Amino acid sequence: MNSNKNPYSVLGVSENATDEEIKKAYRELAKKYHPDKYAGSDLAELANEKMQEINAAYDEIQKMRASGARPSYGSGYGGSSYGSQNGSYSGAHAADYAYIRSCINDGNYTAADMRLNAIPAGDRGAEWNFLYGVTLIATGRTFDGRAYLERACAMNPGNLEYRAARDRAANVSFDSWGSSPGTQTECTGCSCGDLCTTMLCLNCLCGGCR
Amino acid sequence: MFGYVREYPPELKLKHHVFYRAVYCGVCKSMGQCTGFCSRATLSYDMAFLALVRMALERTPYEVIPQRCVLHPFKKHPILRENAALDYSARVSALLFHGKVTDNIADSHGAKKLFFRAVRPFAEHFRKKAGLEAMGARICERLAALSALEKGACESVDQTAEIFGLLCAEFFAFGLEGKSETIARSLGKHIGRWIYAADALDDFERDVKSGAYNPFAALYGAILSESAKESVAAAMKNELVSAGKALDLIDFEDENIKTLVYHIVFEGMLRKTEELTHKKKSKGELR
Repeated sequence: MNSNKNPYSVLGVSENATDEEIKKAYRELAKKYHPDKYAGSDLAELANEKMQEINAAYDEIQKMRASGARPSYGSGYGGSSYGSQNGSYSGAHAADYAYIRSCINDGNYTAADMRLNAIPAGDRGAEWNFLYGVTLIATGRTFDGRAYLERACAMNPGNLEYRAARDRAANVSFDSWGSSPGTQTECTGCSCGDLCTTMLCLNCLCGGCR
Repeated sequence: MFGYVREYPPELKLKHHVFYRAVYCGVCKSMGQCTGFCSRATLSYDMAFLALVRMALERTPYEVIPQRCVLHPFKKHPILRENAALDYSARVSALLFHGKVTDNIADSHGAKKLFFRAVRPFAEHFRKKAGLEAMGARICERLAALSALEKGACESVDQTAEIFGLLCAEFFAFGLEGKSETIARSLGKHIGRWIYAADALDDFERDVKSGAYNPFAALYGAILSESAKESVAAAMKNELVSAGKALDLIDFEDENIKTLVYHIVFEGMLRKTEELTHKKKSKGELR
């Protein structure tokens, strides 16, 4: 890290920028390099360094301009979770699916993956494909995961939960990277968190469609 | 496999066009000097992208000067002066070509096999002149591993794409250290995964018709529904997002290089993604 760097240039503002402009620049950079965005990535450490650099620059500017409270960008990004399954599973693998859902809820994708693979090929219906798709996407298997979500929707077209998850996964938005106008302001790519939020909402709304 | 990583001309300023071309020609010239005249036939825009990324990471000072070339013997054109990144990209191109030829000889039959056999001495010659034996060996290893998976009719796009991604990560990161190495590896991996998917998608119909292996056919079946195409597009865009995160961590010194690199990923490769998944967008719309 270059400690001799001008803090204003780290934030990408001029030395005559107003306090508001500085705050805005800081917020945008913090959003861009926020650890949640790089969670699980092999670049997490570097992003963290960059984040520290940005924080240090902001602090320095504040000090230089006399005191002022700086916004705390705390790690208030609570992970969203699946609601507990309200309706009960029925059928041969009821216990398995309930267990798999709770694994996914806990972020224990390895266990979910193993249990899913233990279910014999002949018994793999829509629910299996859905849960497997969610697991795959959560563990970075972005192409295969989406294919399984497609299968789940094809097997059970009426299921809103599957459709919502599939649509969510198909919706990769970009922030102001491109030069084209009208782009989204939020960018995360697709993460399991997005799918989980959707599932939580759906569970509340329809008590777990099955 | 290469040729998908390109610019999107309507959204590129002329000065960046000229610079991009200067880099491309620079790689070509390097090839002529380093791996021989014939090796220029293996030139691709992907290598221009590689050169740009390497120049950004190594903070290479550059110069664009009017030069002649074989294809334009009468009028001088702006070409990037010889530098380490151009030289390196030229060598990588030769090694990739050699890897591809070796791989295709092993995997193909009939006329195709004969063609690659005929071309083999050229590929060997390019490889010898390129040097970088360690990397050349790694490229061949990865390609062999990929071949094995494909021969086994692997049903996972992620598995196959990952191998190609790791292959690209190798040559993006080779010779770099520390922060630059980490970034280059990540960038290379995601670009590589995207390239593999783009190539497989482009070949989908042809492969299904001829009964050849195609990872998307193995995963989705013989037909890609509109919904499936949308999902595939999303997965490819995800790779671009991941590549973008790596780009964000590069400390670009030069605005031209920065603009061009971001443009190639978020205009060129994004549009290509939509073109391959048959999404026709009007100009100005990103999705």
